[in-house]
Parts: sequence; C-alpha cells; structure tokens
Amino acid sequence: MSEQPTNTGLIFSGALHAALLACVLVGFASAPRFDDAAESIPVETITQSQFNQIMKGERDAKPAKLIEQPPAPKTIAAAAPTPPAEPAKAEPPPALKHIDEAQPAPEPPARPEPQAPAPPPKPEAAKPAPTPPEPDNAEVIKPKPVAEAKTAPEPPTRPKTPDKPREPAPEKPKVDVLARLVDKTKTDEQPKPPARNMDLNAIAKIIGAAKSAPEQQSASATPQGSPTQNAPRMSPSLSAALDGWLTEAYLRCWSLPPTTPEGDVYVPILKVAYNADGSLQGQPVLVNPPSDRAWTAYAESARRAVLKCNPLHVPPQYALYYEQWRTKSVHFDPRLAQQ
Amino acid sequence: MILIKILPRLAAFAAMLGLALNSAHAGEDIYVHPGANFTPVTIAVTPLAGDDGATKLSAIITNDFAHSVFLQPLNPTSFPEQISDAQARPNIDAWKTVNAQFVVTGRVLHGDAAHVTAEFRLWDIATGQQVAGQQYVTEAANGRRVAHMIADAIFSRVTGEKGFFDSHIVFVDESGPKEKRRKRLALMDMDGANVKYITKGDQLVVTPRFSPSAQQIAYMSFGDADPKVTLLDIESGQREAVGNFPGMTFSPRFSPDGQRIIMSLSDGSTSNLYTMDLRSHASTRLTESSSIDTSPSYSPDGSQIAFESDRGGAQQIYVMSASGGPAKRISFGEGRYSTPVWSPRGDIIAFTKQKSGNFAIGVMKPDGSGERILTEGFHNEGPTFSPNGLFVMFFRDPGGQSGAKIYMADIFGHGEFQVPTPGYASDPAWGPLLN
Repeated sequence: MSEQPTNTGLIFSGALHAALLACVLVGFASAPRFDDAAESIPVETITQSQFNQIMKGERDAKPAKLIEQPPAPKTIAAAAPTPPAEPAKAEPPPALKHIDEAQPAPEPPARPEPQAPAPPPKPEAAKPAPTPPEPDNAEVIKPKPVAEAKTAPEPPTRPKTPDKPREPAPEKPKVDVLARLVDKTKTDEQPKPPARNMDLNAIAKIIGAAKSAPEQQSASATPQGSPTQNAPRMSPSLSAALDGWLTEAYLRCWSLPPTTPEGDVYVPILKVAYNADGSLQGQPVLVNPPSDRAWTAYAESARRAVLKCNPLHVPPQYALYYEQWRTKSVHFDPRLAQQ
Repeated sequence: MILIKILPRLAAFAAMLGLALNSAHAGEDIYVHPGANFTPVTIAVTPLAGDDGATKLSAIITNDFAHSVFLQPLNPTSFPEQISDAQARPNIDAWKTVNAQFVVTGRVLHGDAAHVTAEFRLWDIATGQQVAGQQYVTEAANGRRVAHMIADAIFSRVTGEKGFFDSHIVFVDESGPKEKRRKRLALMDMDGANVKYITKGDQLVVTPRFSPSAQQIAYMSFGDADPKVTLLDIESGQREAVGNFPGMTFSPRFSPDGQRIIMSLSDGSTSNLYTMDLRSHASTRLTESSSIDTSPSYSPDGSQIAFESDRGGAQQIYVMSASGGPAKRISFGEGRYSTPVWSPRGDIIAFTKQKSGNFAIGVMKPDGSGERILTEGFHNEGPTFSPNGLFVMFFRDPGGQSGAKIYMADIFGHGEFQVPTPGYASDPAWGPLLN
C-alpha cells in the first residue's frame, strides 16, 4: 500500500531523467563538432551515483516532451563559438614556427654582444697596467696594448643583426603575429607592436585562444608546431632518450674551465635552433649572460661546446622527429649530476 | 548510450591531458653536468713570424701548453694553413676542420740589437673573433720570459684562471754517487730551463722555500755546526742564519706577508714550532708539545697554520691558529701524513702520505675531507703548489741506484709530467708569478 506513492515518484523521476537524458543526447548530437585542438572545452562530469540513478529509469517510460530547449547544450554552445575550428587549429602551428624562426634572429644581436666584446677589451686594458711595473728582475718587459688588439672588441658581423628583428614588427599586426606573441609570453614580452590597427575580433580570438588553451600551449611548446601538424610525436621514452643523447653529445664537446668561481652557482643557458640535418640554424644564444665576470670563461666554455658539436649527427631514430628537437635550451650546470 | 557518447570524449580528454603532461615533461630544456671525462681545450700555436728567435718563442709557448693539462696544443703537422701575415685573421673554417678551438698568431720584431718586441693574437675559432692580443717589449735576453708571459695571458683568457708559466722553481740539484751526493740549490724556470746554481755544494742543503716576493730563499743548511735555517738573497747572494737558536732549526717557510719565517726548533727528541720576525728578529714559540711538530705552512690569509705532528702517536696533519694554541687533527685516513702545504687558493692542503711502504702525494680540504691521492709509488714526497694553485710539483725517487726527479701534476689528477732537470733533483719549491 505504502509503496504506491514511491512507485509514482520513481516513475516520475525516471521520466524526468529520461527527458534530461534525451535533451543531453539531442544537444550533443546537434552541437557543432568538437575541434580536435579545442580539448579544453568544459566537460560535464557525472558521478557514479548520478549515473546509476539514470540507469535505474524504466526503459519503457514515455519520452518527455521537453526536448525543445535543452539546457545542457548551452555550455557547449558558449564554448563552441569561441574556439572555432579555424583559429584554434591554425594558430598554434605557425606560432611555433615563428617562435623558432624569430628567436634566432632577435637574440643573437641582443645577447652575445655584451658578452663577446666585453671580455676582450678589458683584459687588454687591464693587462698593460700591471705588467709594466716589473717587480723583480727589472727585465724591461713593457707590455703595450697592441693597436691591433683593439680590433678584437669589434665584432665584425654583430652590428647588422640588431636591426633585423625590429623591422618586421611595426609592419603588419597580423593575427598570427599576435597569436604568436601571446603564445610567446614565456620568453618574450613584446605585446606592444600589434596594438595599432588590429580589429577587435582578432583580439577576441587571440585572447580566447590564449585563455582556453593553457594545456594546449604546454603541449605545443614542444615540437608539434609543424605547419601541417602531422609531425610524428615521440614517445616519452624516446624523447628522454633523445635528451640523453644530446646531453652526452654536449658533454663530449665541453671543455670545462679547471675550476668554477666561489659563491652563487651560475648555469649558462644556451638557446639553440637546429636545422633538420642537425646543424645550427645560427649562433647559439646565451640567454643569461653572467653578472659576475668570474664566470665569463665558464659561460664561454658552454658556448664553445655547442659550437664544437655543430653539426650534430642526429641518429635516425630521432631525426624523424625534427619538430621536437628543432629548438633546445641547453643548461650547462657546473654541479655534478645528482645520482 | 550516454556511456558510448561520453566515454570516448573523456578518454580523448584524458589522452590529451596525458600528452600535454608528457610534453611538458620532455620540454626544450636539457641539462649538461660535468662528467667523469676531462677534455682539454685545443689550441694551435702557429709559428710567430720573425727570425729564429721567433720560432723558439713559439716552441716555448707550445711546450708550456703541453704541460698545462687544460690546454692541448695541436701538432703543427696538422695545421691547415701557414700564417704569413701575423695581423691577418686566420682561415677560421680551415681551423675548424682540425678541431682547433683557439689559434695563436703573432710576430717578433727586433727594434734594435738590445730589445725585442713580441706580440700575439688569440683567435676564438668558434666565433671567429680575436679575443686577446698583446705586445711586449723586452731586452733580447728575456725572450723566454716573454714567451711565458704570452702563454700566461692565453691560459688566463681561455680558462679564466691565473697563469703560472712565468714563475721559477728552486730545488736541490743532486749529483755524484748515491752515497756521497753533492747537493746544490738551483733555480730554474718552471719548464726546467735556465738552470742557475745558487750554492756551491760545499754544504748539504734541503727544503728551500721562496719568499712571497721571490727575492729570498730560506732553506736548511748542514754546515759544520748545528744545521740551521738560512736566508739567502737571490740578487746579492748574501746569506745569513735565521735567528740564533740553541738547537737545530729546520723546515722553514715564509708567512704570506713575507714578514716572518716559521720553522721547527729541535730540543732533544722533540721539536716545536717557532716564528721569527725578519725585521725585529723576535721569535715566538707556537707549540709546546713533547712530540715532533714540523713542516708548518700558513694558510694564504695568514690566519692558520697546518703542520705535521706525531703527538697522537704517528705523523698526522694538524691545523691551528697562526698565533698558536690548540691544534685540530685533520688527517684521519689510513697511514701517516706529512709535509702539509696550503694551496695559494686556500681551498686544499697537499700532503705526503705514507702507507704500506709506499709514498703518495695527495690533497684534502682544510677540514680534512675530500682526500684525493694524485700519485702513489715507491717514494713521492714534498709537494709544492703552483702560484695559481692548480698544480703541485713534487719529487719522485724510483729507488735503486737512480735518484730523484721532479714531477708536476694538476690537482684533479688529469695529467702528470716530469720537469726536466740537469741531474737528479729533489725538494722543489714553486715561486710566485713573476709578472
């Protein structure tokens, strides 16, 4: 007797759930297809108990009518327009490509300059002073800075490069350019150039892309940025093996100074861009020149290691995955590796 | 149905997340740490342009690098080009093919009969840049020194360390039959050239030590009376006994400021450490033990003294304040430790270690940790540091009828070389950098 109301409730509940279910199904069916790259779209999860609830519904219950206004699709619909298939898919690859292309260009002028020219002049300038005094044997050794020695500080090729990177920026604030800039926030912070003649939609797209795809960015920080996005991906173990191989290669090419200065440890980081044949695309760029001159020789040794290893003879098993090693940041850590 | 629809999406999401995590893990960064293998920097010293003298200078520089451990001079037969214009840029690409990391070019000019002008340029082959260049003018007789100075400048530029080639060694030259050796003090360049004898061999001499200015040498001399610590002025040849002590004085060494000499004074079966102020001649007793305290060596800042003592039963190394007081034992390895010498860098102490009938040369940190044996054999003894603290020189006697010879090794144990001497040689002491 007392079970009667319960059954009614059950049926009602079942019907409602079925209706909800139907709404969801219809909503999913009618919603625009997910874009492959837009995986960050919010996904509704249901708990096990909800799921069980749903499954408890009577199979023969009548379908509800409330199909016209499915509530669920709303969230999907909100997500869908933001990352339309084209921008989401198209932007990351070129952005990466440009990071790779752009970095070698702007960095060489900026970083190496203070580094390479600085050391030569000072030793020269400093040396002459101490040597003339000739403390003991009065053995007339009068070091004079050679006139030619001054040629050392002049880096012959460097001056050209600084201008290069500047030119392209003001030209066109293309959407891709902006997207790249947003993506690049890790390394570069130059949001300024595009600010002028861009349209709001483009900005919205960019912001949307940047916001909605944090994980996408971390994924694309690795190589898959080929224009086709069809580049094969390395398994984690193969990727680790590649890193191990690179580490070994650079270790073999590295002639460390006899000792390292006391105090804070300095770890030079060299940004390296490779061609597919393993050769360097350009000069390696010291990302963090030492503030303490005592580390100069150490930083130079790291740079020499990269140049001495050029070109890398990349084993075939890695060569296939060029997109994943086309750029690397090599840290030359003076501390022994931890076991 | 729902499952069918949702699960694949969840799986796809999970897969995507996994990929993202993996990618983040792999990243662009790779980390290179120093390994067990040591690789010297390759350098090509092209013949300096000029006359025969120029060729000799090139050979001296090359020879210096050959004994520098950290630089490896390339064999001239592998040179891809002859440098005819000392001021021109070498063919960078050509030098890359022979794995030269640096190339030295230069020339020697004779302005007049009495003077020589030598100049060099150091090229970094990786960047194609000239990274150092210098000109030296000197008396013609000092050509060797100029070569060492050039070698020092290059070594310093490439490694970031101070040089050590332009320095002298004082040692005991030994000649004659084993039972009746004639021992003379001799000076030489660090590469074994320019040997000059500064005592006649009429007295037995041991343990010579340079003053910080390299103008004086303190040593122990066995004359007619008790053996005494003697001070010799190199320029004038003048000699004098250090202090007027009742017993035998031995094992002298200068304080880093050159103002004092620290030494052992024997009293019967014991010996203690004393210092003597070279200006006031006032002496100060630093240890008061019933043991043999000897071989004192100052820390480079002059605040501490390392010495050997058998106060614990066997010879061990102790460290105490430069003003005396309690001493702390720092050597705890197996065997007996003696002749401690503090590195000019202050970071390590070199010693002689006797164990199982063999003598080894090693280094340890001033707190006794990090002991590292550099060489071991029948008889190795008496380490002395290079001015930059990267090398030790010592003597080795293989036993039998032959005699001792001088060797040098870097403190990391990468390389070891014999230093040429006219005959048998022992007790080397490395002087300061001259330039």
